[in-house]
Amino acid sequence: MREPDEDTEPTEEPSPSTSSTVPPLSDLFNQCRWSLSAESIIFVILYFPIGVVLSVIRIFICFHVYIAACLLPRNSLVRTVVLRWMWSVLGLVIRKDDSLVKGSHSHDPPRLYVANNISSLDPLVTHLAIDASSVERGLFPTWFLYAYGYGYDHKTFEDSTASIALYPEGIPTNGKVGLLQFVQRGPTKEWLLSEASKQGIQPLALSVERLLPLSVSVVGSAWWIDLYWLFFSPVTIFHIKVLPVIWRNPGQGKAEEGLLEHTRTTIAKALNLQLTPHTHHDYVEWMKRRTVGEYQSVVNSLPPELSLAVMRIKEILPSVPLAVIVNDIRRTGSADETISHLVDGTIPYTPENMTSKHPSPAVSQLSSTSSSTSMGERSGVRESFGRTPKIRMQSFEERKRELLECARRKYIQKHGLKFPPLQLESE
Amino acid sequence: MAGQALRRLMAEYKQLTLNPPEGIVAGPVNEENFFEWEALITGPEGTCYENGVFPAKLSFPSDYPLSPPKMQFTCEMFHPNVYPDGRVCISILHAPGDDPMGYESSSERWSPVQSVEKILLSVVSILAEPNAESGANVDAAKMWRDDPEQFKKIAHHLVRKTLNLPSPSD
Repeated sequence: MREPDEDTEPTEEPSPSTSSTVPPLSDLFNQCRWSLSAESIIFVILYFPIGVVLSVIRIFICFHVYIAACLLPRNSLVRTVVLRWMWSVLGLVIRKDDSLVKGSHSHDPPRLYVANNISSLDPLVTHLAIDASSVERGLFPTWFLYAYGYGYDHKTFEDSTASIALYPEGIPTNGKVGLLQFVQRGPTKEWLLSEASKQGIQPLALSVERLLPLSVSVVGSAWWIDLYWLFFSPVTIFHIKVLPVIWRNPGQGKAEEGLLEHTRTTIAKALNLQLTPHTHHDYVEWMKRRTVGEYQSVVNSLPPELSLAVMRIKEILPSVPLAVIVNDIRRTGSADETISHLVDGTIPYTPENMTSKHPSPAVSQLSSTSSSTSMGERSGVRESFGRTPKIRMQSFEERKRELLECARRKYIQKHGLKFPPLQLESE
Repeated sequence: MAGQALRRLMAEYKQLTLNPPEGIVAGPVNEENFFEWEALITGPEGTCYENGVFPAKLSFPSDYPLSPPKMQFTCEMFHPNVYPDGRVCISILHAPGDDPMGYESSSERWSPVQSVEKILLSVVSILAEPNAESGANVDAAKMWRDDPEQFKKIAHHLVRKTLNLPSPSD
């Protein structure tokens, strides 16, 4: 039986990290998927065809696993065993190490788990290992969440006996250098943590290893890409170290924050990582600068007349990502052709969210001062573009009429004219 | 050459149909001839042209988008930057080479990366803020400077005409 205070007290001061220099933010993340060396490259080339075949087979098996996950009852031993076995076929092997907490359960273990974040698949891993749901929806689609019980809120926490896992770093790091600051975001997490300050927190230390020199997660990668590489790799082993429970320390002033920082120190010590002062917010800022910087250098590398054209096209079509424009203009060498490609839709792209709807600042000013929204309608907008000239011309005529009628209505309303709007309709 | 112009015009037509700027409708009058367009421009709110729907004709050259289109209002128009016959005089409609007035900066000129949408938006902005230096219609420019009340009255008159409503004096 361990006394939690004894166990955790010393970690406060000596944290090996804070004394040494702070690692730059970029060291905390995997920036490329492959980290190839001269020796490994031959092995990778030989493995590649096997990997492709393996991943295709596993994609098909994955459907069965999904159905099984939907059907098997929650919080049951059968579910845990079957799903873990099935996922090891898919290449995801989980090694749970709870030697540190063996026999220390004098009373119920806490239901709140806090773990470091090393990949977008962490919620899946913790779910399989300890049957914990996650608050974070992450980037997973709803059908995936359904099967694996993500997206819990405090109501389900209160009502059921399910465990919940939190990843307060907010973004996967590479798990090799350091931990980001633990932050609580959103009301659900705040609530959970205040609840946890009564019950205690179960810290989990996650780490991962792979035979191939292939990162599990890279910056900005989508969940399904991470999942594909998981299928591609022969085996990916996630180690989960269950650390001693951190109970609330009565001496601490602000219970939740103290607990969270305490948890972070414990996890960092277990994984031999540094505690960094970086936060999720720093990461977001860094990503922005990184992308802008990248594109800026790409744009600058073009001949001057093309880089000018790229900027112009970006002005006209602000929703098109810069990279798409640059790629296409490299090929066509003409601003005009690129525009028609983009407008035609011959080049697919995901629109960036725009800050202003209108490209021209003068006009957006005008429309912002206007009260047109009070009419609650916008005339002349169409959802589709007709396939035949006849449909298009008909739609064009309709839109013209709508615009005119709308303007008339507004005018009559504004000037309080008496005659009904259709009295003087033109022929 | 004409093939490229057609493709480009079609693309712009699609863009303007699916995502038109507020208060603007534009497209070919008849798809038999894709080089003649008609546009309806609503006078911006808060200006003397408010709620007026001004029809205009756009004629595209066969080497569009290398050369700019021509634009002419088909309704009666009284504006400092519109010739009495309806032709619109704004910098975006002029190629960098020709500069009839000698006052435009080349950055606002026509170039293949401009578009019909940009032209129409420029027209909306000159309806809101006429450029008195370019005197396409000297009388209008003069009145706009010296007698804004009278100018407003005339503009208001035009708005009613475009809406097929009787003049205020009636």
